[in-house]
Amino acid sequence: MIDEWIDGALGTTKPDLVLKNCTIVDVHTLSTYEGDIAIMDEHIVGIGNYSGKKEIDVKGAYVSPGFIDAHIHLESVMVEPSEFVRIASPHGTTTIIADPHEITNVLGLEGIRYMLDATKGLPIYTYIMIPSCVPATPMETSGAELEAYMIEYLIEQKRIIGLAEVMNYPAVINANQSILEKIGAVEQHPIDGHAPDLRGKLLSAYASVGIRSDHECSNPEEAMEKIRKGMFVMIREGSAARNLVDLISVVTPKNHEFFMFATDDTHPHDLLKRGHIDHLVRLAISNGMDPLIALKIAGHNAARYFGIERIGAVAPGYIADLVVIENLNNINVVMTFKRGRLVAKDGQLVEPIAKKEVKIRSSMNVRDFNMDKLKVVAKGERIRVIGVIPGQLITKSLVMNARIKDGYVVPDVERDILKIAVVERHRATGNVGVGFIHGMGIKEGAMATTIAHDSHNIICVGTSDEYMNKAITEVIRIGGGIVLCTDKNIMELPLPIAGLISNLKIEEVADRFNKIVETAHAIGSRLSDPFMTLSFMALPVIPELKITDKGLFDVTDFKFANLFI
Amino acid sequence: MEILPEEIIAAAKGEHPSDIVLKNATIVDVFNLLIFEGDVAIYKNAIVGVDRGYKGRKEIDIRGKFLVPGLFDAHVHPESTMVDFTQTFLHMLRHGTTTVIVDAHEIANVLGLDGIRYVLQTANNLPMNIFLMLPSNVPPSPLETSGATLSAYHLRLFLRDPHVLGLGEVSDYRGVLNKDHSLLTKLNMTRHMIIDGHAPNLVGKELNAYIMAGIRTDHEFHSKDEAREKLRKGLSLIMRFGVGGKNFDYIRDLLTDSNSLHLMLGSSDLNLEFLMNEGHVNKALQELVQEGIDPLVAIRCATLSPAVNYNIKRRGAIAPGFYADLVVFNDLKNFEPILVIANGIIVAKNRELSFSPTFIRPAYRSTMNPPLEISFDCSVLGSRANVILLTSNSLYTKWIKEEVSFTEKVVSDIDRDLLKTAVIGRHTRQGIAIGLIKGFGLKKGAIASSFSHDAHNIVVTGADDFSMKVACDTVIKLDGGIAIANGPKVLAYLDLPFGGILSFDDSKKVREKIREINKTLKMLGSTREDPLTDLTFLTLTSVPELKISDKGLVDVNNRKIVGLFEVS
Repeated sequence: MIDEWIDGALGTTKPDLVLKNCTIVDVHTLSTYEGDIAIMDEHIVGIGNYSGKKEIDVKGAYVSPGFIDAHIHLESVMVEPSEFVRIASPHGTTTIIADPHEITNVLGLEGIRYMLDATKGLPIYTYIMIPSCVPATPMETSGAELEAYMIEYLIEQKRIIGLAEVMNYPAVINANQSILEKIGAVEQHPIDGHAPDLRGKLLSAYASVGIRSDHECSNPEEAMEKIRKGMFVMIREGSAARNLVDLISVVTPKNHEFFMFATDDTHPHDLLKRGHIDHLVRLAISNGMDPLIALKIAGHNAARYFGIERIGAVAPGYIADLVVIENLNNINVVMTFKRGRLVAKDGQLVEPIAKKEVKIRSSMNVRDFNMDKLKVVAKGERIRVIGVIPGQLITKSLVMNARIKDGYVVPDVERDILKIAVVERHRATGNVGVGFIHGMGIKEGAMATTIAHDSHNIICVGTSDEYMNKAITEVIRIGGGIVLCTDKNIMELPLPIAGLISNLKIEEVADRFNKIVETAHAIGSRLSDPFMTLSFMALPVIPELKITDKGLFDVTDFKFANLFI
Repeated sequence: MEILPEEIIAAAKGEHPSDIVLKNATIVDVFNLLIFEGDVAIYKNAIVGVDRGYKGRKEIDIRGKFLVPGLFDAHVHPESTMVDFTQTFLHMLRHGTTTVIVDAHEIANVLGLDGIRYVLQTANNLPMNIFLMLPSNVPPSPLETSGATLSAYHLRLFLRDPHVLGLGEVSDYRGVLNKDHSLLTKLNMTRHMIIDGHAPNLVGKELNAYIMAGIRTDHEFHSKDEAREKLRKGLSLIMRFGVGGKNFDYIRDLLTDSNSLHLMLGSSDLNLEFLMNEGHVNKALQELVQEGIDPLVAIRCATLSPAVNYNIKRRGAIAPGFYADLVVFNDLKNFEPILVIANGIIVAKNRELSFSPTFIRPAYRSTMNPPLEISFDCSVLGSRANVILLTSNSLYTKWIKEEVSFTEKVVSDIDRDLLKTAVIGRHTRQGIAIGLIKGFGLKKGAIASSFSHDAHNIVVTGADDFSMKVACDTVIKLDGGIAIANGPKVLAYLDLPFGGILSFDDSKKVREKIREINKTLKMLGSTREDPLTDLTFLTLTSVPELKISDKGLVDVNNRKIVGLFEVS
C-alpha cells in the first residue's frame, strides 16, 4: 500500500531488503551512480542510504534491470517451462514474452492454458502473446484453429498481452478479412510483426494497421526503415536464426530506445552452453555496443513496447527485478532478484522449483498408419525433389530421375534421394503426404519427429519404407518425440507434451538430443542439425518446395505440386 | 482511428489516391532523430505512407520545407490567458500545437465539476486533441479556501472519459509525505494512469517517497542536480516555457540524444500577449535551438516524448498508422509555421486559421461571494514584519523580515516600497488576510484581481486603503475581473465574468485591456516588467517561499500559516 511504501521510502520503517553499495545502472540517463537500493515486498521504494531488515552487500557490483526476452517460443527449448527457468533465471532473465505458437497449433486453447499454468509462479514472469496464425496455412492440417472470437476472449485474460507475430504478412497487405478480424480483436494491445524484407509502401501498409514490432530484420537499412515507420525492432539471436552482429551498427544513442532483444528459438544445448539474454548482451558489447545501451535494450525497452508497467528500471516505484553483474565486459550475472526476492545466485536457483504436474491430453491422433501408405506408384520417370540447402530454411525445387523398383518409386541412397513423409497426427484424417528429398545424407535408417513447423504433424525421412515405418510407429507409440532408426538400434527422445516438449531435465534432453544428432552424423548426414532441417521441411510458407500431410507444395507458385513431371 | 483497415491498406499501397499528399517533404523522423525526403500520404485522419510517389486528391508540394509531427504542450493551465478555452486553444493550434494536456485546476477551484465539464465540452468541439489531467488540488491546499472541493469520488466520474489521462500536478507534496488520506485516495485511484508531480526542491528520501505515491512527471526543478536526480529516479521532466520562469537553464547540459524521450515541453502558464504575438510550443523550440540544442532533439521533446510519457497512442510521429497531426515549418531555426494539419484537416496556414470553429459558451453563475463588509484594518502586533519580496521570477518570492514602525494600523509605506496587500475570500464569504509585499513599486492607487492562483480569491495591493477598497468594489461589481483605482477613480479594468477568471470577449479586446492594466500600473509607479502576472502569483501557495491566502501568510516550505508580525 502507498502509505507503507511512503514510510519505507522515508526510512521511518525499515524496508524488507536493502542492497548495499550498488553501482546502479540508470537506463534513463544512461549512466551509473552509487547508492543503496531499498526494497519493500516486490517494489523498489528508494535509492539512497538505507538500512533494512535484511541487507545484502553487493560490494560495488553493477545492478541493472532484469533481462527480458521479447519474443520466444518456449517450445523450442523442448523442456517444461520450469526447466527453462531453472537455467535462464541464474543468467539474469526475469521476464519473457512467450508466443506459444507451436503448442497452440497442436492443442489449441489447451496449449495456451498449458503455457499459462506451467509458467505460473515461476521466478521468471511469463507474458503470453496470442498466436495469430493457427493454423499457419490452409495447406496443412493442424490440431486447432484459433479464431478471432477466441482471441477476443483470450486478450482479456491475465498475463495475456497481445497478438503474436503476424507472419502471414501477405494476408495483411492483401487485406485478408480473417487476419484483419484477429488484429481488430486485440484492439489497442501490442501486435508483433514478422515481415522479412518487407519495405516501402507494402511495409507502410503492414505497419498502418497497428503492427508495431518486427524481429525478422537482417540488415541495417531495413531496421532503420522499420523504426522510422514507428516499429520497434527486436534484435534476434537464437538457435535457428541470428541477426545481432548484422544489426549492431544501426543502434545509436538516438534510436536505441526502439530496440529489444529476442531469442525466438532457443535450443536446450544452446541455453546450457551460451546462456540466454545475457549472451546477447555479451555479444553486443563484444561487437562494440555501449554496455549501458546493451543493458537497457536487454532490461528496459521491451517493457515499454509491451506496456508492462513498472518494469525495466532501477528506480523508486519499479518492481524489483534486478541483476547483479560484476563486470560490464563479460556480464557475469552473480545474482538475480525477481519481485524483490533473491531467486538465483552464482549460477544456481536459490530455491528449487517445486515440481508440479500440469495435466494435458495426448496429442497423437493418427488413423490407420501402415507401411503401404508410404508407397509411391511410379506414374512417371522424372520427379520433383526437395533440395536441402545446408544452414537455410529455404529449399530448392529440383527435378531428378526417379529410381523405380517393381513399379514403385523408391529412395536412391547413392544419389542421396531419400523418401520424406508427413503423417497427419491431430484429427485422424489418415492423410500421409509422400515425396522425395535431396541433401539429408543418411545412408541407412530413418529419422522421424513430431516437431514439424508449424502444424507439427509427424515428419519422417528414410532410406527405406521399412525403416520409416519403424520410426513412425515408434513416434506414435511414445506419444510424440524424436526417433532415429538405424540398422543397429532405435534411439528416441520422447516429447509427451504435445509432441513438442519433454518432461525430462534439460541436461538429459540436451544429452539425448546430441547423441541422436551424433548418430545421424554417423549414418551419413552432414547437416549440423539434421532434425532442425527436417522440422522445417513441412513449413509451406518458405520457398521453394515443401511437403505437408496434403502433399508436395510449390511455395513459389503457391499451389500443390505433382510429384511427377 | 474509425477507418477500416482495408481502406488504410489500399491507401498505403497507393491503390487509391489519398486525400492529401504532402509532396517532397523534408520529414523529421523523431525515432531515429534523422531527416529524410519523401511524400506523406494522408487518408481521412491518418498518415498512411511516408514513401515516394503517392497521388492525392489534393497535393501540396512542400519541397525545401520541414515536416514535423504536430506539437504537444505537455502541461498547461489554459486559464492563464484569461480568455475562454476555445480561443486559447485556437491560438495554440495556429502556431502548430495539435495536442494539449490540460490541467484546468484554476477553473475547477472556482467552479468544481462544472469547470471540468467545460474543458471536456471544449475538447469535443475542436479538431485538435485536448487531454485532461484531473486536478488533484481542489482546494489547492488546506492553507486556503477555494470555491470547490473535489474529492476522489468527484474525480472518479471522469476517469473513463477518453480525454482523461490521469491526475494533475500533485502540488501538495507535503500532504503526500504526511499521508493525507484524501490525497492518497486520489493517488491510489489513478495509480494505473499518469500522475503529474510538482515538487520544487524535493530530493533524497522524500523524493523517493513522493515517487512511491505514483508520481510520473515533474516540471519543478531548481538546479541541475535536482533535475538529474529526478530523471534517474524515473520521473519524466517537463521543461517549462510559459510565464513565471523557464527552467531550461537546469536542463540544457543534461539533455542528450539518449535521454530526450524523458524530457518534454510544457507551458504551464501562458499569458495572452505571448501566445498571440510570439507563439506557443514553436516559440519554445526556437529558444531551445538558439541555446544550442539539436533541433531534432528539441522536436522530439515536443512530440514523441509527451506521446510516450502520457501514453497517447499513434500520435507524436510521422509514421504509417499514426494520426495525421502535422506542421510545416520554413526552417528548424525560427519555427515559423506555414501549414498546420490536425487529424487530417488543414486547420491553419501562415498562422491564420483556415476553418470556422464552434465557440462554446456554457451557462454560468456568479461566483462572487465576498464578505459582506470589506475592511483592510489591521492592528500592529509587533515591530518586525514578515514580508513577501518579489523576485525576478513571477512564481517565486523571498521571505524577508522588515523593521516596521506603524503608529496605529498597518498601512503601505511608499518610501520603503512596502505595500499593503490583502486577500479577500470571495467564494463563501470567507475572511480577509493582510500582508505586506516589497518590490512591486506602486507609488499610488491600487489593483485588485479575482484571478489569483490557484484558489482565485480577490487579491489586492495598493498605496492606500481607499484605492484598495474602490478597486475591490469594482471587481465585485463586475462579477469578477481586474480593476485599478486611484482614489475614487477607476483607471482601468478587465471583466472576467466566467468564474471570475475568464472572459468570453474577443482575445484582441482582452489583450488590449491587459495592456492597459499593465501600462496603468507602470504609470502608477510599478517597476515590474509584468506586474499583473506578479500579482496573480502572490497567492500561489505551492511555490516558495512566502505567499498569501485568505487564511493569512503562507510559509510554503513548512506548509503553515504565519502571522504578519514576528512573534517576539
